Amino acid sequence: MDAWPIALAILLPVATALLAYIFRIRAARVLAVVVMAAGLMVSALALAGRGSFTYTPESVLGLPIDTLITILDLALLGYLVWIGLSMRRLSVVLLAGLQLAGLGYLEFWLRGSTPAVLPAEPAMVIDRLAVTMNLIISGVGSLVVLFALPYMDEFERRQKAMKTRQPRFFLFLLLFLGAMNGLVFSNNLLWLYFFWEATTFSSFMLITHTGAREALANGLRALWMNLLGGLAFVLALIFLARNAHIVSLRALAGWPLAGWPGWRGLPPIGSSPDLLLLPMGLLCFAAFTKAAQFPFQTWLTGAMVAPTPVSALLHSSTMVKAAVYLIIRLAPAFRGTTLGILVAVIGGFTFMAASTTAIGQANGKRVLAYSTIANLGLIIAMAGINTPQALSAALLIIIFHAISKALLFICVGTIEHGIRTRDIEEMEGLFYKMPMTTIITVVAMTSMMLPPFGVLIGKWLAIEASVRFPLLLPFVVLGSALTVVFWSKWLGRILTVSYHRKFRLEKLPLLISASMLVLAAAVVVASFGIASVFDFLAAPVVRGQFGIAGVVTPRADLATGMGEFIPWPIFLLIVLVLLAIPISFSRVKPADIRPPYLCGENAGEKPGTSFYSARDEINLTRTGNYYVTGVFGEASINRWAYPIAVGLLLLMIGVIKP
Amino acid sequence: MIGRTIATYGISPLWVTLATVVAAPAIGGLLTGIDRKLTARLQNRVGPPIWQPFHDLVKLWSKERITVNQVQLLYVYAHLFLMIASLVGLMLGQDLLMIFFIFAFSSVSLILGGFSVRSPYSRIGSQREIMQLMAYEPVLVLMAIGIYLATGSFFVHEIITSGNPLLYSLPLVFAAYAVILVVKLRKSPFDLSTAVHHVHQEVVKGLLTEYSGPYLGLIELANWYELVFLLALGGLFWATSLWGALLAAAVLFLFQVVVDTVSARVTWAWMLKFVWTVGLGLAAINIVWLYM
Repeated sequence: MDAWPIALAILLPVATALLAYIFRIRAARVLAVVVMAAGLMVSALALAGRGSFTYTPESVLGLPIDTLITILDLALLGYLVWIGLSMRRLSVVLLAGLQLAGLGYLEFWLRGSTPAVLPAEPAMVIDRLAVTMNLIISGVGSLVVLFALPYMDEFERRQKAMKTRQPRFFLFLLLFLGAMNGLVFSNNLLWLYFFWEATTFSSFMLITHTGAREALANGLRALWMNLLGGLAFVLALIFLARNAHIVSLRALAGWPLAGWPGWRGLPPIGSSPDLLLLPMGLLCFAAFTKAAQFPFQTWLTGAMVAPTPVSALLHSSTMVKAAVYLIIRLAPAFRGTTLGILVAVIGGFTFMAASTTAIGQANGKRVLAYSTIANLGLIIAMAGINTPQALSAALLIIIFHAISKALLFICVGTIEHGIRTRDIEEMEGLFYKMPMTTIITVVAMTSMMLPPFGVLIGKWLAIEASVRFPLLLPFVVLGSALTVVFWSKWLGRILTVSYHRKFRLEKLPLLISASMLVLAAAVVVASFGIASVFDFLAAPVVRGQFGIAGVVTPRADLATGMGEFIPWPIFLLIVLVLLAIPISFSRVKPADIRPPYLCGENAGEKPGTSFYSARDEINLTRTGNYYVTGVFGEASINRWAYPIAVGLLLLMIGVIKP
Repeated sequence: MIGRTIATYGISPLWVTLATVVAAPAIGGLLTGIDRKLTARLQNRVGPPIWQPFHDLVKLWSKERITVNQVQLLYVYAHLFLMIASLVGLMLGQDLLMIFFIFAFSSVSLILGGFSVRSPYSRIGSQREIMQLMAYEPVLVLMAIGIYLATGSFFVHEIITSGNPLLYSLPLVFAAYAVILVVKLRKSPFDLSTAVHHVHQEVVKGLLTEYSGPYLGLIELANWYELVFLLALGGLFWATSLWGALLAAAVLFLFQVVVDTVSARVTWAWMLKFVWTVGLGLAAINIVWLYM
């Protein structure tokens, strides 16, 4: 069958999830997950090797898929209502209940009364954007799941869990991957909505995994915020079905695929572009909640109570990426409208505000969370202005952020198990305790902020793309500068090291070191070959919409016509510096080593930690990082960020009301 | 300038690179000597001979190699190489934004070098240097954007050949650049992370405290490249004629010498407020002009 990679990408994780849940033996679980990871990667590569195509699966196991999805959707929403009732959270009951009612109205009332929809739209469209997302989900996502296997063993040992909850954990973790793959393939908006809600549900189950009080509270917050977005999604669907008879993403966005005229060429019955602004705006709102844009950022920062693999998945390849994916899909429709500019400003504002907040955080995972929120904001800003360069920037940042951020979470999870804390201030001397993890963490952090790595090249492109948009420009400029600040501070902390004659690589479980090394290699290789990555994954998407790619790749570099980024000389210099490492280690002899200068003679065994003061007392030295919480703390930032963010969302109402 | 010469006469980039690598330290060292002499005269001192920086460098390189750990000097190499790369990129007429990112990498390397040792002084210096970076980085990016809006290109070689001097359209950006030049050169009143020539007691020598001998010499060398880079960037504002470029650079050079002499050091918070209001404000207003 032609569509086996699609079936594999969605059903294999689901089947593996159920297997892992039913057969509760560790060895079976490990085997199943490893096989699944291999299968997912094969299917992703198979899809990447083909051109764009459409696919409408009719039935699975004799059941029509449309019906199946309706049943599952209603069951899922019903279950969410039940969760709200059992946890006595009114907001969850209300938001899930309203969605249930809306979906029921849509499925049973409207479906019978609407005339035939547009020339039969396929249920799934697999174009290069879907392939890109699928590669990220199946590639990066699988590596995170592999990392989770040994991580969860250690996690439960730490928690002193009496009874293992790993089958439940892997059930939802793998369902998550399946739902995400389904989401990026779906063209039918009802299917898309089902998978959207499925990711909300899985993330809730994973955040509350430990069942601790804090986990439940944060999980419920994530749930109600995402359900609010889900409600906006349902309202958009109802509006589209009633007034425009549109139930497909491609018809809505006019996403051009060779041979398929979009709605601009073939207007649906009784609709006008202006009429579509309202559902567009509602869908963008849904995406803002899922992408944790200000003022919804707290659900993502709260989600870090979950075990680290969950964060790695939420932040890199799933959940939040679904949101930016949706906005990129919709972008062609609102290009050049006031809505587009407003979306850009909302994203840009989040980029700046989140980067600022990250400076004040001493908790490693919180820094990562704010950095994710910031990058999502930048992607949304780029989708909002939606020029060829901006779209290229958005796609490059999606790809490279996914790899780097998954790697960073894996590193922080490993560090946390190594030194029992995620506090940046406690990470001093990490270079000696865990040299390999430290070096990989350094690669990952560098790749988030400095040339010649992909995320920075994406930012370079983003700045060049926003020069013609004065409303967005200040946010992009300030956000980029602030990014360097919080990464450098953290990097400095983990790189501090005293003299030791020998450094010993730490021992890590095979799957942990393997997933770290593969992702680190991917960061470097993909950045080095950024021109090929761009040509293969991003350029077809941009060309599909604009006819031109906006960025050309003449000699393995990226050129925009107004500027050019050439990564190789920087790689060359980095290699030169790295070559100096072995030389330096062999050349520096113990006799060359002096303790650091203090205000008196060094005291004690460890140089630089204490000294004899004037009265011959031993004084300890201790330096911490600047956090300046009075300016950069969450409370101080939120004082001005919340009103502005809420104000921007309110402005959106004025733009989209019919 | 050199960029235009390449564009006009088609000189091989390799030769430009070589010439830059060789000539820049000579110019930078000489300028440093002039800087020290001028500063001394302004303070009613005789001051060292103009060649003093070269003597200092030779002396530093003949000293014993001592370090605090093995990795410390890697950051020095990274700082130096990337600084040279920024300058070469500028001379080859490359993308200004890309050059600024490489320049930022160079600065971050020096910061990490300060962090890499367990010394409170060098680490406080690094913290302060991060604050300096936070202050000047957005102004640099805004400057690149202003130049793009005025000339229609981020390429230095196109900026140079684009007609009118930039100073006509970007006077306020030039003023903002003068402010961050003082920050970037770590001159008073913004010599927070380390003082270039003066002695400050409270952080010893800031982020350079734990570097000595040949390694300190390499940092000094990087400083010369940096000085040439920053002044050449200032020359960009009047790049239509060689004399104009030299004049713009000379004005900036004298400006920072005088400011350094007449002002006392401020705290980092004050610096940040000043640069983000005055520097960013001036640059932003100038850029709004260009949209109008």
